Amino acid sequence: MATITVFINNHPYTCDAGNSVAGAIAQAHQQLVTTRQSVHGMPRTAVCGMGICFECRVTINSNAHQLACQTPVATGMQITYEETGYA
Amino acid sequence: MHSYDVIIIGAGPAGMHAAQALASRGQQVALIDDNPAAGGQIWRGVNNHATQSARAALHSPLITTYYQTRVIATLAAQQLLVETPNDAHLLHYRHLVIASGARELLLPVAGWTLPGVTGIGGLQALVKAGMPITGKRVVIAGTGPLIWPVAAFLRTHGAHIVAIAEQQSLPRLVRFGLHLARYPGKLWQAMSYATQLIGVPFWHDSHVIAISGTTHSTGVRIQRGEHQFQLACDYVALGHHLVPNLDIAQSLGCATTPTAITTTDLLATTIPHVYAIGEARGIGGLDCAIAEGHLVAAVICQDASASAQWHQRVQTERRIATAIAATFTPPHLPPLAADTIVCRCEDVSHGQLQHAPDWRTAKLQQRCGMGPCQGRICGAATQHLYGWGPDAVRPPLRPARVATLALLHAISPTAE
Amino acid sequence: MSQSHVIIIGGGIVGCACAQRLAATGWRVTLIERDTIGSGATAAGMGQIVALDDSPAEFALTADSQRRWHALGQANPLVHEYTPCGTIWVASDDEELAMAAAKVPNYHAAGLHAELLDAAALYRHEPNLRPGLPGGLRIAGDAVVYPSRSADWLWQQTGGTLIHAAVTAIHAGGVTLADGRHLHADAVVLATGSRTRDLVPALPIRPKKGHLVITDRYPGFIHHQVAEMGYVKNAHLADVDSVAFNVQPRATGQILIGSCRQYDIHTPEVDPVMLGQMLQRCLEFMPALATLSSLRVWTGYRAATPDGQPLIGPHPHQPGLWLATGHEGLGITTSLGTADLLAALMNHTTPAINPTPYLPSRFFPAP
Ligand SMILES: Cc1cc2nc3c(=O)[nH]c(=O)nc-3n(C[C@H](O)[C@@H](O)[C@H](O)COP(=O)(O)OP(=O)(O)OC[C@H]3O[C@@H](n4cnc5c(N)ncnc54)[C@H](O)[C@@H]3O)c2cc1C
Ligand SMILES: Cc1cc2nc3c(=O)[nH]c(=O)nc-3n(C[C@H](O)[C@H](O)[C@H](O)COP(=O)(O)OP(=O)(O)OC[C@H]3O[C@@H](n4cnc5c(N)ncnc54)[C@H](O)[C@@H]3O)c2cc1C
Ligand code: FES
Repeated sequence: MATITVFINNHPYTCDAGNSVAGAIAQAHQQLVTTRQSVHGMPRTAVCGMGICFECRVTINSNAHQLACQTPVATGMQITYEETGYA
Repeated sequence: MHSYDVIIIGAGPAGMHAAQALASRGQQVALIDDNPAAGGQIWRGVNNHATQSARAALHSPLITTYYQTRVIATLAAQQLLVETPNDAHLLHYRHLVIASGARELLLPVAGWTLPGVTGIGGLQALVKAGMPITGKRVVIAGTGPLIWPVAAFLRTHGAHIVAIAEQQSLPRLVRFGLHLARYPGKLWQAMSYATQLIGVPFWHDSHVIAISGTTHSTGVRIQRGEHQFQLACDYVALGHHLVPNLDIAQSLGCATTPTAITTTDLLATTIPHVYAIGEARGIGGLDCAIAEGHLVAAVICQDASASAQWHQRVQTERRIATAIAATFTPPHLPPLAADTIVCRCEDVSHGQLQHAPDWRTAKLQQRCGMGPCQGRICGAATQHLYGWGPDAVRPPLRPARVATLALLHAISPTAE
Repeated sequence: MSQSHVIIIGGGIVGCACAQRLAATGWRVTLIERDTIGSGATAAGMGQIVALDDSPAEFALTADSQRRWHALGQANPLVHEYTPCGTIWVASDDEELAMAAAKVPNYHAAGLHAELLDAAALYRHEPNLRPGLPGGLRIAGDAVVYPSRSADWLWQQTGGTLIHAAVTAIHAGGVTLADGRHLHADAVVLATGSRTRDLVPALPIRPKKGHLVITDRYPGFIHHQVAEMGYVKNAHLADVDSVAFNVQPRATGQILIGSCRQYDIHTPEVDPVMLGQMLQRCLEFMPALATLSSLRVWTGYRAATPDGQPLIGPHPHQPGLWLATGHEGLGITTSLGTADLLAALMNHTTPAINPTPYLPSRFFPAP
């Protein structure tokens, strides 16, 4: 499958072109990782995988609160989220 | 404004087949879906003969596809406000087909907010979208016919399925199996999943009590009859069958029940020019969705013989659906601890909610349901836990950019 | 002497504030609310605590209330989500900037902070405003609260009795409930906001509908309540529908976006055209709002009176009936001042400000 390069918290990462942003982040870490802190500071990440739960929100190309699970990766895309030190 | 003979909301199997069948009868069709591609939940990332031909059929000059597109508002005079990744549009329809599908019912349990806890369909969707699963230990728990195909899928992709915990009792599951045996196709499918899952522990009468971990799920505690087990795992996939997406229909004023959009045998809702097909009409499965896609096209184009033929098919499929619904009834939840989060967007706990008199008070005083999911997750949970009724549906049906809503200044409130 | 008993109809912010003051001054309080505490307009309002100098009466009540909120908010910031963010009134041209300059001495005379901002200062405070604006007026003492929770907190201070029911009639010495029960009291306070005429049809109160939009969390997007100077002009404009740019930073980091006014509309549905016009207006002043994600839209009714001032005091023809209603678009702010006025009048003590401009008798011809 074709691959493309995106930037996850400023690190270049090469992933399959058909991935979602959520899939790419998980691929980069070899597992689902915390991509959001809840309003009381708890670690969260994608749950429903289909645009319902809004737990997978990340910042994409400077736009906050984009759904990682519903957004396909694109060449050069800047994906950022707060790194909490959590796995 | 763009105008279409038929707008179809939802590009799952139901919507895809409706689009193709309408276009083949000369109708100008718009097909809208918030996913990046057609396929819906079940055909997401699947490449086989059925999906390839259904996708190919969408390449028609008569079909305009709007992917990554959300319906934000249903408006007077048969108009919709939709949002694309970079833009917003007002669309006009003569007929509207709601094929908005279903979502998983996710219910709270201690630890369910930990990263690594997903929906059952959710885990499958994430894996299809690139999440690595090879060698990961997965526990699948909850209820519903989704469990088996997903477990089989995950195993084929290299996951180690630690156990499947189904809440229903054995007699109930056996009755369902016997019912399926009347439909050779379904039985064959069930057998194929069973073969793929040979060796995987399957427990009935079982449910999750708590998920452990600090920053990621590392284990799950399961009650099986009288006994409790602690299992180590990387992922916990939870799901309690499906709930149809009713908000678009409700926003249009269509009558609904808690489990379906109300329709006639020929798929008409209670609002003129509006039809419902697939899971939104009640959970019915793939073959039912496909048959209803064909039926709605025949009905809209007043093709009497095709209508009669597809109507027959739909009736058969709906009988299976009834058996599914009777089997996978919503579960009883283990009692929740006061600190278990119920509203994930706003971190509102069971302890903050259990004494609230109603949804509105919980919302106003505790912010329950006020976050971006707007009660799509916690609304079902509080209905289940406390019997609270849902909110009235109103625009925006999904979170929308301010600029999208600002576009409404230009609509004509009445008609053409 | 046995404790006097007051029935308060309506558990919005005004009813709850009155309950708290009356309980604190010795009354036994019963509150009757048809829905839930802090619903009604209170659940819909922006929750801006604002001192407005458009008329002496409005200024006296809002300035007094602004100080009371400050004391309450400082003592319990979390309960009230009290954020002392201040207001910036944005001038869209030099004429409005001159209007702003003329206001500064008024605020200073009342002992309130007010500061004229030139363009550079305006953009230093709020860089997301569109370029080319001449300046504005900053009122640092203004604040933001979460009204529904404040209402509930005020009610919790009373130790009174809450009855969940609708009042269908007020009679001498008490009220009748929808289930036919009669309740008796020494005094009845009517605090039913935009629904006041259900119970006393002769009162000159009309609903003015408004829409609001709340976004997801964008901490630091704006720092003040930011509104156009024209807001006040538009808001008090005679009977025509109007929109104005008015955005608010919530304690959660969310942005609350308003505002619009429509007269005599009684249906709660979102009016798409009005909503679109309101947001279009806001985008003209703050284009960066365009990409923010809006979560929810709702509507509410302000209880408008002909002269824009609330009705606070005795009903001139119904002994024992007291009014605390008609607070238009300022009732969150003025609830605390209202409660002090009403309690003073009922207790025959001296209120903090002159009650005359708010007395209901102004709308009743002398017999
Ligand atoms: C400062 C502040 C911040 C807020 N922040 C948020 C937030 O972050 N997220 C959020 O979701 N909400 C927020 N809200 C809004 C909140 O949801 C409610 O407070 C608001 O009153 C609207 O009520 P509702 O949406 O719960 O309406 P509902 O409970 O749905 O309805 C309100 C009343 O109107 C009646 N009604 C009937 N039909 C309609 C109709 N078509 N349209 C409207 N009403 C109808 C209902 O029966 C009910 O009595 C905030 C409110 C305030 C004041
Ligand atoms: C869009 C909008 C924005 C606003 N922004 C602001 C702002 O930023 N700052 C500000 O200061 N003000 C603002 N306001 C105004 C403010 O919200 C109101 O003035 C204030 O909430 C009025 O409070 P209330 O207690 O008088 O009325 P309500 O909150 O309406 O309370 C009346 C209560 O009486 C109950 N009731 C009615 N009839 C009966 C009956 N027969 N029996 C029993 N109970 C009954 C109702 O259920 C309700 O709970 C805004 C208003 C709107 C609509
Ligand atoms: S994972 Fe639920 S919305 Fe993306």
